[in-house]
Amino acid sequence: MRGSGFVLVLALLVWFGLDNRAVAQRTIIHEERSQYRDVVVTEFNNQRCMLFNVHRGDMNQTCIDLRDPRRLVFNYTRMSFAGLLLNPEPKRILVAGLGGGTIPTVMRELFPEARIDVLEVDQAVVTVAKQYFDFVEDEQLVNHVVDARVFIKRAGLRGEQYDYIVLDAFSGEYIPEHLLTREFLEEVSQILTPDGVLVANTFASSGLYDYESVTYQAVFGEFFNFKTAGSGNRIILAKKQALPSAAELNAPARQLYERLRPYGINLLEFPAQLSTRPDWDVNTRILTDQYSPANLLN
Amino acid sequence: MKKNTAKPDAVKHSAFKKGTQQAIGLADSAMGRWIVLAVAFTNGFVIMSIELLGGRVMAPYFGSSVYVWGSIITVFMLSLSLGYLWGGRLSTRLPDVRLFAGFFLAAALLCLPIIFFAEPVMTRIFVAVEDPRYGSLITAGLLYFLPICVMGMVSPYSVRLLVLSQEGSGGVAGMLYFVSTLGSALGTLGTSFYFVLWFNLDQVMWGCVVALLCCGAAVMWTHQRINVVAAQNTSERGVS
Repeated sequence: MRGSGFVLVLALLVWFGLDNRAVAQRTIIHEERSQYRDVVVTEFNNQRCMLFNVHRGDMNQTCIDLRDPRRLVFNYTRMSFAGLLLNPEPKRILVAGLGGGTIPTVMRELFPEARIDVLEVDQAVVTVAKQYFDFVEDEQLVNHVVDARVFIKRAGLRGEQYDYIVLDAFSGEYIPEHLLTREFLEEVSQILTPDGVLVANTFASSGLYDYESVTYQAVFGEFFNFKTAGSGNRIILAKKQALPSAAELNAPARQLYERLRPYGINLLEFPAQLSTRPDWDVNTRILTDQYSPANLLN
Repeated sequence: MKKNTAKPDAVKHSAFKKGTQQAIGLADSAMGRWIVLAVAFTNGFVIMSIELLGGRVMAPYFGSSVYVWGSIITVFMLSLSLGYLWGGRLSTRLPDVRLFAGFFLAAALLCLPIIFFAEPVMTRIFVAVEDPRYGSLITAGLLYFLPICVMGMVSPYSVRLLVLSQEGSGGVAGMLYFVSTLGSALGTLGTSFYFVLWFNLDQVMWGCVVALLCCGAAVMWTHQRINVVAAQNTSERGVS
């Protein structure tokens, strides 16, 4: 009895010890208290990162390269700019999910005339993005502390429309299930201009892949599936209109290539990697507001 | 004639009638006691099942932010607290097994608006109230106050149905807390781990409605059966 208790205590000590060691390699430079999960800023190897759930393994939410802040660190962030192939001159941009503000900041630099709305449910993330990741709001780029579903539903009621929408509201561990359903995507479709593009950052390798695929298919029909080797993310590029052929995307890729190169984005590589061929089980159940156990399916 | 001789006999058999309390039908048979515990368990199960579904019902309109859960839990706690108060008062004034069964019927019927009217109700509130904190609070109040309040009345009322003596009252109350809270624990677990994976939200809600109706029916059936047995016993005794 006493012996087993000792072993348990020892096991816990070892476990916590290992856990702390994994974190200790990085220097924690800031911790921000949040209504949801505390937001931690770390620095390591000249990268500054925003993390959630530090104690359950390192989930890098967003990182910047301190030596070259313009270079995008994450593959999926670079991939998300493939949406520009389908709409090279966006004027009304909506980004759901702030993180370190990388995507809206780059869009602001690329398209100074565009009006950009960012949606972030957690005020702590906004605070940290401003203090540590050079996220700056101005009259063209406005952040709203709001649930994305609530904002988009209201925008639909007001009849507002965007020609470039990025869905990137997934924080690693917990998936907001109400942002995966057919009804939500219909609301997104409602605020998308006829020639607008939807860019969605989704999971490439989890049990959710099939579910997300059939749900996007149900709302938007055929879409471009964008995966790269070694990335755990899959980018969905959807339009309300029929998609152009992948070959037609080479022209906008050449046109924008130079402007995107400083960010580490090689747009010329993208068109060949876009596919419309379903590589998922098309008989999978569609996610709806009635049925969306995304965290259990993941 | 027979009736007059039978009555003192019955009083002798059930010791609690010597006190000021009146037996009201379920406590003096093992089956009756089991049924009260079973419906208290189911009631606890259904309450937490509906609470967990509430988050999913409201997320499309108010998000899944922390204050949506705050609204839901606030309304459920408020409904239960008032249900306990009123259920306790009713048990003193109107102790009646048929009323107890009626709680379950009423709760089942009051759950139906959650299935049929949640969307139009939330659409109107969404348009009228900009702040999702108050939008979710009002919605939770409109959809959940009445059914959960009635379900809260079940708990003190079941205590009244089972208590036979003053000394035993704490034990009875403890046992009822135990089964109903155990039901709540399993309702929470079952709904969040499995039901939402297997069923649509409305299907789970229908399951709750059916479970409540079964509780009401089981109480009525047991009540009648006990009465029949009692009548038989009485007449047998009367004959001998």
